[in-house]
Amino acid sequence: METGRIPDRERPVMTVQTACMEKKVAGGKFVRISIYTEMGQNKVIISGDFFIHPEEAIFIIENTLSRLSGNEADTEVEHILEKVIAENGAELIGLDIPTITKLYKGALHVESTGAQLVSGSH
Amino acid sequence: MWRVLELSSYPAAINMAIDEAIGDGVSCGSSPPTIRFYKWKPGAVSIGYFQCIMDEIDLEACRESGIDYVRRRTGGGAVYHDPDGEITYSIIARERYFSRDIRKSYADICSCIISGLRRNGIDSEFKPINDVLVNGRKISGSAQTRRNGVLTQHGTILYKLNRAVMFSVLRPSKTKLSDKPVRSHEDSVTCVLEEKDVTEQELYTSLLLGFTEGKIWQFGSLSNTEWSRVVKLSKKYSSYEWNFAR
Repeated sequence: METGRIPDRERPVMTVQTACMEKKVAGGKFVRISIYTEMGQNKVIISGDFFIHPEEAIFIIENTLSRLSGNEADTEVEHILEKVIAENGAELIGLDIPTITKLYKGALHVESTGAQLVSGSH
Repeated sequence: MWRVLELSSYPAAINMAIDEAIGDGVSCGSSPPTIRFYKWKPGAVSIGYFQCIMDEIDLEACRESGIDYVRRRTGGGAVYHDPDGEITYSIIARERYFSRDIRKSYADICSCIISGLRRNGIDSEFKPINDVLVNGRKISGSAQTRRNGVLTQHGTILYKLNRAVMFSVLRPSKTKLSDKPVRSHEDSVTCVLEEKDVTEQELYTSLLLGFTEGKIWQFGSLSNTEWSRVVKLSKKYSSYEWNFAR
C-alpha cells in the first residue's frame, strides 16, 4: 500500500496557465478561475473551498466555459451557466453564477491583453 | 440503530477510504448508519475535492516533516490534521435522516459539535456555511457530500494547535481573509485547549454524547466487507491521479 508516500513528480506540464483570477465570495467561499492553454484550446479550471452537489457537476461547468468563444456578454454567460446547472440538478454552495462569470471574464481579459499572469483579488 | 466507531488512528488514505466504504455499505443496505471518530497518523493535510493540491499545500514542507496528504471527496478547504491535535468525526447515513436543505443539514449536524463543546464549558456558535466558531475564531470545520442517497459529513474539532506546523504546510491565500475580522490566518483559529483546560478524553466523551444525543446507538466495528472495500479504495486515495487531479 502506498499510504504516506509523497510522489517526487509534480503536475505534468501538458498545459500552460495563461491567466487566473480569484475572489472570496462575501459570506461564501474562496474561488479561483484559471485558464490553461492545452493544444491551442482554452481549458477553464475552477478551484477553491466551495461546494457543488453533485461534485461532478464541476466538470460540466468547466467544459461549458472552455467551449465558449469568450465574446459572450456577461448576461449570456450567466444564462448559459444557469441552464447547464439546472439541467444537471446541481447546487452551488459558497459560490454563485455571477462570481464564476465575473472571474471567467476577468481571466479572459488578462489573457487577451497579454498581461502577465495575474493572481489577485477581483 | 446507529453504529458508533470508537476513536482510532489511521493514515490519511485509509481514513478517507473508510468513510467512503461505509457510505457504499449504507447505500446498498449492508452497513448501518454510522458515527465515526478518528485521528490521523501520521499527521496529514486533506484538501477539498475542488482544490488544487499545488496551490494549497507546501509539499516540500510535508516531505520534510513526514506529513501525509490526501484529497477528500468532499468540498471545502485544506485542513492540517495534527496526530495529537484534533478529533475528526464522520456521520454517514441515508439522506432521509437529514434535512434536504444542505445548508440546514450542516447546521443540524454541527449542533452536535456545539453540544459537545458546551459539555466542556465552551460556548460556540454555528457559522454558515460549515464552521463552528468560539469568539469569532474557528474551532471546527466540516464538509459534506451526498451520493447514491447517502449523506457523508466529516469534520474536525481542534483540540491542540501547533500553528507553526499548520502554517508551514498550508498555503492559504490572503484573499480568504478579505471578509474576516482577523488579520492573519494564525489568528483565525482556536482550539479546545486555548479555551478550557480539558483532556482529549474528556473532549472525545463530550463529542460522543453530543453526536449520539437522541439517537438509539451501540458501539460497533467495521465488517469484513467494509474492510475489503477499504483496501481497494485506499489505493485510489493514495494515487497520484486522485490527489493531483486538479
